[in-house]
Amino acid sequence: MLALHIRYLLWEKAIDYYYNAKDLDESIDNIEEVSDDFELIDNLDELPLDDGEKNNDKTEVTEKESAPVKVREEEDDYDDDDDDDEDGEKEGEENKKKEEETKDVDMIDGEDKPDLQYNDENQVILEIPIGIFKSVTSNNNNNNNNNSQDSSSNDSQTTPENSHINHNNSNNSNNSNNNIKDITAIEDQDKLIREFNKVYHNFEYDRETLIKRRKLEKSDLQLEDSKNNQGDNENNNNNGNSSSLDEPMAGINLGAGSTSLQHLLNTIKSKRDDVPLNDHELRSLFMDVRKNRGKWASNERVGQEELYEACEKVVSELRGYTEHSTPFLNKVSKREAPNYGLIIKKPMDLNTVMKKLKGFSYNSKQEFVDDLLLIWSNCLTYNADPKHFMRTHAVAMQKKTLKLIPTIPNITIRNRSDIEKEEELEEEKNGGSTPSASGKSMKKGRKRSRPDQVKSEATEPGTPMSLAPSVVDSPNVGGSETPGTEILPSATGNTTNAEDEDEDEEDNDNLNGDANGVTEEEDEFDPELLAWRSLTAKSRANYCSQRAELFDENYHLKPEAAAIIRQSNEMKNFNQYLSNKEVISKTQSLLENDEPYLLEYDLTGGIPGFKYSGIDKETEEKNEQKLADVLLQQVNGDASKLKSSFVLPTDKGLNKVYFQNIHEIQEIRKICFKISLIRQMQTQQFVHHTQMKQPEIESIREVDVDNASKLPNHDSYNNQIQFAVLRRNVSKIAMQTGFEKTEPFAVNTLTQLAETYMSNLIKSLKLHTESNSSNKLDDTSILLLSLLENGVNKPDDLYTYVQERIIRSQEKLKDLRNKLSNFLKELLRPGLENFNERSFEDNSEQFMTGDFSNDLGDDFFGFKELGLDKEFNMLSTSIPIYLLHARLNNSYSSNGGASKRYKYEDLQEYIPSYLTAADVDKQIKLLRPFYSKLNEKSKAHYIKLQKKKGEPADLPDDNSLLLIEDEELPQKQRNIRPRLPPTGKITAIKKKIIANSFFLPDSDEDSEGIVPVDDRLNDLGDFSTPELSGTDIRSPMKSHPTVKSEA
Amino acid sequence: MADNKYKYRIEIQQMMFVSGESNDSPVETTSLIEDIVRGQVIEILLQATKTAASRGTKSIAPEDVIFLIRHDKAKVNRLRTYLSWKDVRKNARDQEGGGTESLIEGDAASGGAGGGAQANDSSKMLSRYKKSKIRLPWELQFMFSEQHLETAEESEQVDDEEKAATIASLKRLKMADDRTRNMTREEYVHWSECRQASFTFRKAKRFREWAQMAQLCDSRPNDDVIDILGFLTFEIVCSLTEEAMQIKNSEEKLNQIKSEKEKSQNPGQQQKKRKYLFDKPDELANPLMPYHVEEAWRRLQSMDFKHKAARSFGGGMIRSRTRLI
Repeated sequence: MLALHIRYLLWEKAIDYYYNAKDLDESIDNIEEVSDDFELIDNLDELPLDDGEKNNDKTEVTEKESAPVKVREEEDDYDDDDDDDEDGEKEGEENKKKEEETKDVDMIDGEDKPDLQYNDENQVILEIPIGIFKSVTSNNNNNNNNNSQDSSSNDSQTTPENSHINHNNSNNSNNSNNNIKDITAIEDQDKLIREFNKVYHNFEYDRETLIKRRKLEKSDLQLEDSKNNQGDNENNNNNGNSSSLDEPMAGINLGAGSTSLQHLLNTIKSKRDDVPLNDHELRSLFMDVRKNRGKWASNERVGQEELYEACEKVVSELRGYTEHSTPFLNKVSKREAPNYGLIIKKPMDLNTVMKKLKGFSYNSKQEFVDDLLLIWSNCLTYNADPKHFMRTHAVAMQKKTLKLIPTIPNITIRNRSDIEKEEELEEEKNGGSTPSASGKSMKKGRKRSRPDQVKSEATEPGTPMSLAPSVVDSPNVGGSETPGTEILPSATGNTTNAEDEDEDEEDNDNLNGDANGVTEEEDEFDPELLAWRSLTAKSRANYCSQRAELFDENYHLKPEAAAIIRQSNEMKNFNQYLSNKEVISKTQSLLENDEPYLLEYDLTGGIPGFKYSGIDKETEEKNEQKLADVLLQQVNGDASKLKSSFVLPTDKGLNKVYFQNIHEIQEIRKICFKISLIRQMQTQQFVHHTQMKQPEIESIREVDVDNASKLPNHDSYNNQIQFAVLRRNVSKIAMQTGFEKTEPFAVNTLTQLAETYMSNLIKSLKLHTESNSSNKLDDTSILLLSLLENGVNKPDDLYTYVQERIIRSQEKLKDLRNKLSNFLKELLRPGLENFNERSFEDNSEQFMTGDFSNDLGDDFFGFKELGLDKEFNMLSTSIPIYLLHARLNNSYSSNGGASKRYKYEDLQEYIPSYLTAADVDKQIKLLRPFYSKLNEKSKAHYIKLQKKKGEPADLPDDNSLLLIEDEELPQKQRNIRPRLPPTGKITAIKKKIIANSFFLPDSDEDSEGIVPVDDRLNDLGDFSTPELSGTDIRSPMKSHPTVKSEA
Repeated sequence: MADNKYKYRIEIQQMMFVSGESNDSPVETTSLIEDIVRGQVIEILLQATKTAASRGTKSIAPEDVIFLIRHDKAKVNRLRTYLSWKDVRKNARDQEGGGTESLIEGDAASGGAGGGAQANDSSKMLSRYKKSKIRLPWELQFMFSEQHLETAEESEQVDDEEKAATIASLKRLKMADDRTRNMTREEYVHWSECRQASFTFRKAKRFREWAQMAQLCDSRPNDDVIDILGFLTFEIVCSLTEEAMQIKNSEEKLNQIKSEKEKSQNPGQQQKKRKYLFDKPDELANPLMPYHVEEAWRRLQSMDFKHKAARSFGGGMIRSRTRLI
């Protein structure tokens, strides 16, 4: 038992170690080391061979020998050129194994048997283990005679490499039943890996695998077991079990660390006497040096680290066995099983075990194992129905657990103080005979156990016999049958169809797997498939989740998802796969994942690199520059002459009409301004010259898209350019409808509406064209229908729109302009009627530009006659506006009969004389009371004035006392006559039929008049700003094709 | 009848008669139509108040009401003519009473040339008045800040729009002519009486109460608005009746087809009935029933594509106001 357990574990570790070494540098050192060991093992091999022959029939041996040949033939086509290599490797592994075995033995028995033979590497030669094996085998011999056959048949299926091992095995411990089972299990696994690479697996199990994996990860999170921690831990174990593909380096580093540490240890060991440190110091030094110390490590509790790491590995492996473990991850909730608490007194689940582990509540292996087995037995107890599906899971888990339990070292944690006490006691016992040696060996043993457990968890074999019964006797095992008896019938069955290898394998699987006879379900599957599923579950889940990252919940590819990046090791794997070499063993993923390389899932590894590096910015720039140069040459360097297809011709079609209309509207606005100016001049005495300034009305011209977008290598059908062009046209329509200026927001909104409308039109067109209806419409009716659905009842509507709103309005505008200019003439005429040269005398320098005479169309000053208009261009076209103002004002006021000055010119000099107090009586009687009252007032006023001056307040005589005028009275006493009507308005001549604040598109324009155009909001471009010319080629806003204006 | 909330039964019956319904409609029908008309009037008032508010005033101007129906150009033009003639009538009453009758005659004969030179002259004068009166603010010339003074010659020119309106009104007159061709004198008198039916004419107060204007409007709408509403209500009743008549006709046609089919299926039963001189006519002319009116209302309220085109492909519910008929 013991030796077989050791073998099992060592074999595993040896593989790990081998790959570690391989990965490090494929260094010759290692190989040499191996070859060194090889000699050693050769020696070793001899002994077991003899030993084995004692116990086994010779027929068996021959059988064994013949079997590998058979297998080899089969495998030859597969990896013939590697066979030798692998054999060598396996031998190397063997060596390692032996090496470690001896170490272990050394460790266990170091104290008891001080007189061991050491070779140069301080290793024990196998003599002692053989002794143990002998006893063991003799113990088991009686029970398991039958199994010799079985084991031989097992051996026959194994690969040649493994058969080599088996050869040793069978020699050593062939009749140990359990052991063979374990080994063959491993071998089968390896074999299976080999096998299922021959079969193409599809992805049908991926979903459930992924789901189960998710559940597991979730429960991991629940455990607050951060992935990193776990990864560390597993790296610490050097188990290669780390599921995280992203830290392969850590594992490799650690491997290096552990091997170097081993060398160091060896060196220290050999020269212990030269080191001037005592054991305690040395130990603490190692604690410090050692990388990646386990989280379980504790100075106080001896053995905890080893035990807990093994336990954790078991738990995580069980948890990772997602095929069956999912129901056992968490506690059974009341919701799921209300009466669970009644039946099961002590509920247990994997997470609880993990928590307990974390809480350091296990003190020995037995406690831990009991808890684990409790889970499955609970399940089996609760689900008593033999058909229940949960039983399958439970049994499978139980089986797995039983398989794993032997990997846990049988350590009972003790306090360091206790141990030290014991040591002291022992030292006392030993007296002074070999105090330093024993102490050393003890320390060595302990020290060595650390690096050893870095490589393998189960360095301490413990007491095998006590373990085995605990497994066997535990009432939890299904039908309380020992595995041995269970095997018997199936083994006999095996003999019947021993020829067929596959069948054999299957049966082996049954042997290994189904202790409980719950084989119905699993029998449905190919064992290969099963093995494949369980082995590759993790990497498949990884691959799948990676791939799932690329998609969103609607199964659409996420554009911003991170790409799956090719990794060099994956590419290497792929190449190896292609060249048909080393399918399983040399892969990196085996090291990291303990799982084989899956070609089907490796999306990126096989993609070759691109030769073509793509176009970089510089060449792009260069090409564009060239294109631009060519184009510029065509138009003689004037970029603005380049035409794009987005500029409509202004000399024909509807566009022309639009432009004419807009022009007309602007002209009419100019006239309107003049009219309003004249009205102002008529009514107001003074007109500020800023008021006379004609507002700048910009003539519009069509602005193309920016020059860069005109280049043929630019896609003109991108959204930005199209939107800008549409906006230009929309604003053109808006202007034609009568808007003077618009806020950019408004135009943008309008443009968006137009965009939506147009796309709706196209959509409905598309809908009808692609319709499946059997009632097919022809193109015309499709067009008509789409127009109808979008609000155009008939195409005539479009025609009438153009006719009425554009062409008719052009006529109307022209008509209106004529009328208004005539009206303006009439308004001007009185002002200019009797215009003579003397009028220029006052302020003839102040010639303002108001081209009124142009409007009148007459030759007012006779300049044209004199030919002066050519000489003084200004004179002919302009009238001093102040003069005009004066004229207009006068003529207007004279209309109201206010020009008395001209009527009574002789009275202009008359100054009315002041009235005196004596004059009061001379007035007409009607007015006398008023004047006498005024007299009183003026007297009082006079007295007041005198008092203020400090003079005597004597009244002068009546003749000299002047009656005060209204203007002289203090403010309050004046007679205030209202000069305006109560409305406060002087009615203007201006004729407005209806309040002109009322417009068709109501509220917008009103608010526009009030709210100034905010420049900060103009980021989208404003068609009313004349500065936006198309000159900046590289402007980020690719185009400003709005209706543009020039001053 | 006094407590009845339906006050316009007679008027509605008259209007229905004008628009083609020759039978006496049941009270239910007229009441339904009256309800619909009232709803429409209220809707018009509400929307007009809204436009007036956005103009900044509280009182509804005639333009506000016209604005609501501006898309129906024919109706707007009819309304214009109606208003102008109303003004003519009003002014004519103020002037010497002489010219009025000839003008109304001219209206009835669609501007017939029968009037003498003097009448022609006065009508010209009056039409100028009318034209300067009814200018709608969304016309092109009011786009600008200044307006020119209109001279007499300008107003002589006839707009294309007015031409279209005249054509439309000519059509209506032709229809009326066809209907009245075979009428006796008494019938024609009845007909012409019916044509004058109005919700508002000389019963403005009743109309205000009926439409609950005091509750709906801040200020009392002026007489012009009431007149416009009177015109519009007439139009509403007419179009409702016409639509309902159409529905009724198609229904009768369907029934006829059905009965003929039945006859052909079992010919024995129906054939035996002989016709006598004093038998009732085969198909009794059925009056418009409320469900006809309801269906007509539904059809007139159905949203056309123009009003939901912007929402197509957008999803969601399309909200709409009551459509003005």
